[in-house]
Order: sequence, then structure tokens, then C-alpha cells
Amino acid sequence: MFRRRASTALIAAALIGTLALSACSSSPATSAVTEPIDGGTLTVALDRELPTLDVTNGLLAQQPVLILSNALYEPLMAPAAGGTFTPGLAKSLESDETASHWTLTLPDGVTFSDGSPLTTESVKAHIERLANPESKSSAAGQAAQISSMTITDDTTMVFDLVAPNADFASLLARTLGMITSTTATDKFGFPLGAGPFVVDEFTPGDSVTVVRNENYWGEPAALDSITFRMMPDADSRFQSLQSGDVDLIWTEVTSQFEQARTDDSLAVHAAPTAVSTLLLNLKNPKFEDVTVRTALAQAIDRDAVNAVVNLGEGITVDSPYSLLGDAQDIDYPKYDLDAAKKVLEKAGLSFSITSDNSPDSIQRATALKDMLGDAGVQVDIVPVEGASFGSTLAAREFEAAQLVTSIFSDASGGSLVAKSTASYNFTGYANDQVDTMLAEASALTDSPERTELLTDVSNQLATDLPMLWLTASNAGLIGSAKLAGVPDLSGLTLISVQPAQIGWVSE
Amino acid sequence: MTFAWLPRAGRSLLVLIVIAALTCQLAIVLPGDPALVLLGQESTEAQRAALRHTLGLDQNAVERFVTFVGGVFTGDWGTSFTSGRPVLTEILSRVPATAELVILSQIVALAVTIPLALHSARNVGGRLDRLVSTGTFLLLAVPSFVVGILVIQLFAVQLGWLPASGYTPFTENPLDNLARMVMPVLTLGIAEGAVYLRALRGAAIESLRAPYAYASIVRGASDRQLLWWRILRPSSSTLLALVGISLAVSLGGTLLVESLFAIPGLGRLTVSALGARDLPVIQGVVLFAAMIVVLFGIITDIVISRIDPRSNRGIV
Repeated sequence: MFRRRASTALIAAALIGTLALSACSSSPATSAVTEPIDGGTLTVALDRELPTLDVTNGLLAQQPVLILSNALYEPLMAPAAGGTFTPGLAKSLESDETASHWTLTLPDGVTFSDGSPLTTESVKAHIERLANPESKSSAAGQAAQISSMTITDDTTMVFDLVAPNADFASLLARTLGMITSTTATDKFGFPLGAGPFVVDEFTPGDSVTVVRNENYWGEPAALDSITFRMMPDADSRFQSLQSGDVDLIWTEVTSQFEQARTDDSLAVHAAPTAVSTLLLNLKNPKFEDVTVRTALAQAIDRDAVNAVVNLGEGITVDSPYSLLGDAQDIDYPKYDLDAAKKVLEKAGLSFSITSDNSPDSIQRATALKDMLGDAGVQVDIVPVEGASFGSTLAAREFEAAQLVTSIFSDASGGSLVAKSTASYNFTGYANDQVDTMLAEASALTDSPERTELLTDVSNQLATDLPMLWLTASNAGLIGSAKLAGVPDLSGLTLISVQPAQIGWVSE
Repeated sequence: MTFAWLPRAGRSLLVLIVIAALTCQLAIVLPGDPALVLLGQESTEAQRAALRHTLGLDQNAVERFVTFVGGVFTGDWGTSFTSGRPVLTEILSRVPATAELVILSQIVALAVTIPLALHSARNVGGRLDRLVSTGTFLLLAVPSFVVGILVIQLFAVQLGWLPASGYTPFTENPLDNLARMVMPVLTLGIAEGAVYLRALRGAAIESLRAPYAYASIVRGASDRQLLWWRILRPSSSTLLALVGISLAVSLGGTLLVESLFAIPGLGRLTVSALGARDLPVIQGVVLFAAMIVVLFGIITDIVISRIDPRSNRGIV
């Protein structure tokens, strides 16, 4: 459909730095075609069950749930086109030249939903709470990247980082930036937020109803209330949407996007954000020869994977920065079955692909198995249940593994998988040159030099091939065509919608 | 005689203790680190170790067993890792939805099954019997989630008669509750009814061959009198045993139907707890389900012995 390559990624990555240096004042990419009317209710179906609404729970930072999290805990930063970030609740976020000291400025008059002021003291207390392991926060690791916080006044503070991080803004678009009160809670015992909605009803694992926050410091929400229903079954969500039982659903099921596009009563709001890769365990002797890894890459027809698994709705990717912008060629091995056969048939290779057990992942793994089989490789698929999949990867208890993730929504994703000590480096890849380039890029807010470094990293990864790049599949929302104000998601790399902008069109 | 229930109670308690001991091994047996699931991939090992200590995951199996069983006896089933709420509260909050779904589906299944099975048995090889036999085989062959999807497509999407999914507590809005329960109850009831129908039909055919059935016919009993007063009771042992097992197992959670129709029951609680490696909730749900199975096993035995005294004498 539309293919974006690394150059835009790098331009976008560069933009992050530029934006970070300049006082950020633009608003997120929202191109509402029609203005929504005031009032009304909305029912949204989420794809997972929430046992709590406390932001410490990692579920609230996951892409499908951000529409709810944003309603209650408007994050400091918001995603914009091409993997950049602009202020959300914040007024600005600026870095020094080393990307080690970040100055946050809050607008005047921001309040929590009980009307109490949200100041820089609140931000500091919130981050200290997340850093405490007893909070069981999924953002504890991110909070640990901050070495100290210095408060200048009620609206200005400085974050000093343990190490330079030019992508620090991205952290403030999720849990770290969803500021909650450490002194006041709502009627359910959850720390108060400063979003445009407040919790009215909550049944754990079933539903949440939020109503307009009458003390909201910004533009009030259009809708009176939103009910979020937790519906893990994808078919049931879509059927509920078709029957009018719900108005907006989260989905990553490609066939549902395709079906919705043919239905005039529905509108699709999605973007290719779920990147799939095939990780090769470099500690396994089967993959120690780069010639074999190159042949494996040549044996995989990524266009065919996109056509079969994503029904053409996604894009192919060839680097960690592919989502971030427009076309620049990375020297990634092209599909060449004959060349692959010459190497792989001689190698007599057989291995297993460990994959999470979602239907789409298994389908993709099956497509890979067929393609690699054509090149003379014997592949077995090992499905692993979601909760133990992360531990399996962390313990490197796999030969090859399929990883589907949204961490490549900004430039920090490259570091997470390619740095030798990074938390998502499951392949055991270690290249001093790449480590150095990534460290230098993290410390740079200078666009051209950072762009050049990240291009070099991409090319080095395409040469060393610790992981084989596949596709980015669509994820997002399908809703009633009568909804207005749903932002244009097509340029976004992280689907994060602020529901305060959504409402119904006038009849 | 007064204390005849004691051995049974003792065996039941032993079963529950064994299950409690086994569930305490989940922290070792289940793959996946709860601390990693909670803190995320970007957490440090030091942070995960601190959390493991806070959650008691570094206790040995004996310590965990003593803590868990001691807690159960004092009403403290532990605290959910993810919600921070007491486990018993989590479980009990999910019981009404599952109980309503299971009980209504049993009522529907029995209401449809009993007359069909009896009349089918009375006319073996007849048109109704052939239709019923084919229908039950078809229903047994089709998985309940497929039935559920088809039912939603027909009644919610195409006809728009019923809401597609969701749950409203009966006390909050009885009409909406019943409207939302129709399709899940049908889906579950159909699957169970097919099994009951096969069992009751077979038992009724046997009963109809018994001398007392001939005697009733000779005395001029109508079909209705024969089937409902002479055949149903002696044919019910297998059906009651099946209903007892089904009730017990279903109350532990009817996952597929709960997921498909977005009903916040015990099945969904179990799955989400497994996904989050919420060990206290997993332990609690397993023990709760075991208690239900034991309890319904006892109740079923009592009911069968009352309805069919032959079972006490080893005749059937």
C-alpha cells in the first residue's frame, strides 16, 4: 500500500532532536474532518481485560488501551507523525545539546480531576512512585533512567538522565508521562489523573465508564461519557460493532480492516505499527555463519508475507527505523530464492521458530516455514503462551523466534534490540561499532549527524542480520462512520488517540 | 449412621489439601516470571529481585503452602498481584455471572432435552428419533464457539433482535440482563443438551424394555403417564450424574462462552490471571473450582440416591 523506508525514519528521528531543542508547541496529528457535536455517549470495545486502572499496571501503557489511559491520565507528550512526539499535557520539553538534561514546562493552571493543582512537585512524586519496585510499576525501568529531578518552580523542572537519551520524549507519552496524584484517589482508590474524563464506574475485567471531567483545565471533552468494554475475543468485538452494540473497537485483525472498508457504516482508523521480525539466537551454532543468515533473509519474500498475512494492509520493513519516515534504501538482502537455496541446501539446516500463540503470529510463522522449506530448510513452529513468551526470549530458550512489537514506533527501538546490553536484545548480538554508534546517536540532538549514524546502524544490522525484518501490520480502530474527531492516524507510528476530541456528527 | 458422612468428608478434605499443595507449586512449574510480567522487559534484575521478595516468590514450597492454607482457613486467600484486591473478593465478584450463565443453560438444556429424549426413546427409529439423533450428532460435532459466532451473526448482526455481547447484573437491570443472557445460555445449553439427550435417550430405551414398563402399558397408561411417571425417574441416574459433573466443572469457568459474549465470569478471571502470572488469583481460582467440584459431587450423590434408591443397593 505505502512503503516507507529508513530515510524518512531517519529524517523523523532527526526531527525528534530538532523538536526537542526547540520549544515544542504544535499539537498532535489530528485532522478531524467534521467537528463533533457536544454531548452523547460512546461505547468502545478494548481487546484486553484490566484488573485495575492504576497506571502502574503495564496494561494501561499498551497501545490498545491508550485510548482509555489518555482519557483519564493525559500524558505529558503525545505521538505525532513519523515517530516524533509533541506536547500533550506539557507546554514544552526541551533538551540540552547532550540529551542528558531535559527541561519540562507545564502550562499554568493544570489541575487533577479534584481541582487540586498539578505542579512539577506532582510530576516528581509520580515518577518517584513508579521508580519504587513496591509500586509494581511496568515503568520502573524507565524511571530508573532518571538520575535526579530538579524543580525550578511550579511549572518548570529539569530531568537529569543517567545516560543521554535523545528519545526521552517518547517515554513521557506512556506511563512515565501519565501524571497521577500521590495524595488523592478516586472513589475506587486509584490515584487521580488530570485527563478530560474521570472514572464513574469500574468493574474489574469487564467495563469502565468515564464521564467528562468538570474540573478539566483544558478544552472540555465533546462526549458526556464513554463506556469501555473489555472484550478479548476479536470476532465478538467486530460482530458487536456490526450489530451496533458498540461504536468503536480496537483490532489488529487484518480481515476485519478489509471487511470494514467495504461497509459504508464503518470507518477505519489504522496504521502499520506492529512490526514483526524473526530473531536468530546467535548463541546457537546453527546461526553463527553470517552467510547462512544472509541466505535465510534471501529466502523470505517479505512482499508475499505482507500479501498473505496482512492481506496487503501492511508494509515491509528492513530496519528498526522503517516506520519513522519515507524512503531511503537500506542495503538489506533482497528476496532471491535461488541464491538462498545454494547456501541453505548445502547447509542442511533445520530449526524451530518460537512464536507467541496468537492466530496472526502462527499464520506468519507458517508462511515463513513454507518459504524456508522451499529453500531447503526444515522448520518447526513452537507456539508459546503469551505470558511465558517474554521469559522464553529473555532466557534465550529458542533457536529462532518471531517478535511482534510496537517498540519501533520511535527511534529508541533500534537501541532496545541492537545494543549489546539492551533489554530487548534477545539474539545475543554484540557489535562494538553498533554500540558506539547508538550511544553517539542517543547523545545527539543534531539532526544530520544523528541521521547518518542511524543509517549506518541500519546498514550494519542488514549486514550482520541478528534479526530478519518482516513486515509492519495494521493496528488501530474501526468505528461507526457517524463518529467525528477521530484523528488521522495514517502517519502515526504509535496509535494513541485522545478521546476528548471524539464525538458524534450532527444528524 | 449419624456419622456416615465422615469418611466422605475426610476424603474431600484430603482432595482439597492435595490440590492446595499442588497449586502452591505453580510458582515453580509455570513458565514465565511474574516479576518480569509486572515490571516489563525494561526493568533491571535488581528491581525484579526486589519485587519477587515483596511478592513472596522467593519462599520455598513448604512456606508457600503453609501461608496459603493458613490464609484460606482464616479467610485470607491472598492479594492479587495485578489489582491489589483480595483474591476472595476477586473470585466472589465473578461468581454471579458464571453461576447465572451455568444455571440458566442447565435449565434450558434440561427443558429441551427431557421431553425430546423420552419421546425419541418411545419411538425408536421414528421420524422424531431420526431427527433428534442427527441433530444431536451435528450439535456434538460443532464446537460451541462456532455455535456462538453463528448465533451472534444471526440474532444480533442480521436480525438485530438481541445485544451481541456484554453483561448487566440482574439486580441492575433485569430485562437487559436476560436479553444479554439469551445467546450465551443457548450456546452453552445446546452443547450440554446434546450430551444429556444422548444419555437420557439410551437410559429411557433400557427402562422401556423393563417389566414395569410393560405392566404400565398393559394397565392402559397413556404415553405421557408412562414416560413422565414410570420411565423418567429410573432413567435419570446417568443424566443427574452428568448434570452434576457439568455444573461443577462449568462453575469453575466457562471460558469460551464467557470470552465470546464478554461475560465477566470465573473463566475469564482465570485466563487473565494466567496471562499476568497472578499466582495468588490462579491458586485461589483452582482451589475454589476444586471446592465446587467436591461439593457438587456430594450433592449429586445425595440427589441420585434419593431419586433412585436402587443406586444405594448397587442394583444400578
